Amino acid sequence: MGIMFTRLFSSLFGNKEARILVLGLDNAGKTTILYRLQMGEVVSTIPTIGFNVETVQYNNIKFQVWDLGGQTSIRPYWRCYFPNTQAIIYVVDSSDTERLVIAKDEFHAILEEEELRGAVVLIFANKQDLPGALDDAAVTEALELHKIKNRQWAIFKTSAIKGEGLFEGLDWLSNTLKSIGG
Amino acid sequence: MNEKANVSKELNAKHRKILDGLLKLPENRECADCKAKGPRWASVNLGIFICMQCSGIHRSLGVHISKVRSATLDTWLPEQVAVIQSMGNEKSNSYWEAELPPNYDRVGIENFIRAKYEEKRWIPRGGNTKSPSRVSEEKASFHRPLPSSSGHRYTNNINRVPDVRNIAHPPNASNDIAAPKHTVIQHKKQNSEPAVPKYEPPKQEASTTPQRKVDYATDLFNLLCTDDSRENDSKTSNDEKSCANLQCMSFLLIIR
Repeated sequence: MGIMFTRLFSSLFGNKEARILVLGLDNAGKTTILYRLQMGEVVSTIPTIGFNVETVQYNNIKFQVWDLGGQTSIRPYWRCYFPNTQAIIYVVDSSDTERLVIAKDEFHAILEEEELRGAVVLIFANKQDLPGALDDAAVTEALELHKIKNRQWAIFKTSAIKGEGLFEGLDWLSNTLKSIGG
Repeated sequence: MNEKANVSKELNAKHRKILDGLLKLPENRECADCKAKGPRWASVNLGIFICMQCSGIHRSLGVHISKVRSATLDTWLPEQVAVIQSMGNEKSNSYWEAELPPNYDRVGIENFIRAKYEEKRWIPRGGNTKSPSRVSEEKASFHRPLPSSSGHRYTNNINRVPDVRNIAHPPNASNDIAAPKHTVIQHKKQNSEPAVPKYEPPKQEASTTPQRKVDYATDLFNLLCTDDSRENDSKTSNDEKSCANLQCMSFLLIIR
């Protein structure tokens, strides 16, 4: 009941909150993106075993951003974080073309999750600064994004290192969440 | 469906056992780069075991230089296990640190790792045909970050190495492979514009540095690179490519 009042109050005064999961294969750049969004800096990272969570205030939305580790054996634990999630940011290393098929499979497995039925999806085709990185069109094709049904999605070319594309993606996310009343 | 689905539980257990065995070898008991004890991470294309800190740096190099996996948290493919089984820290360093001065101070491990694998600063220079003056010339032309700079700068350095070449593999690649993918970094001073990844015939390199011809190891590593840099061949099946790469790698291992 208290939570409901808080939400009502927040929505009346335009201060929305959103719970976001940042998912993707290991070494896609999830942690770098999280801290680039939160601190505006490039941090040196080590593999995330477990998760990082930070709050990012942007466009009158308070994003609670969860960055979950991507190693093979810890991917099954992503589902523990699915309930009450409004959006997924799915990060792909666009230069790791050999693993795009695995990235695609993991991505479509996530979309089939009942608990994420209402979540909008933002895809970051990351690491555009690296040689051989595929562009957004090629990543769209590789991830078979055209197969997405009944869900709002968008893809952005990003470079977390250069700080490109991230806030454009967040703009789309905040507008989309506002429009669906999330 | 994913790496896991391709590797059965039994095979995964077998891989774990092999990796555990490899981690107990004296050469693999310390990180290939910083010498920290008890590494639990690996670069599956370089075939080395590294510590978690160094794994973070390897990840920042990009997968065209190093593909990092956890020895305990990731499911490995048979090819990846085979590569690390036949390489290991000692053999790898005998190549990547061949010209490393004996008392080299590894202060600033990120600089060290970038110099070692990205700039290839210490790979064999053609045995006794090498002239010290030429080496120092080459070294002078490298972009060498100052040890006193902050870590952030080096994270950005990757953008300043425009000659790193890579291949656009077909997106429908069957699965992750362990094919060693190395890139050739040409030794230029600076280049502000990132070059479009392109294929350069290996003979060009041979003609500019004839001494290299006698160095089989270098040539073979370059062979791996050029094999990977054929963008026009991106339709070639990935399996084929990984096979070719693995064969090159095994040949290299045999002659070494």
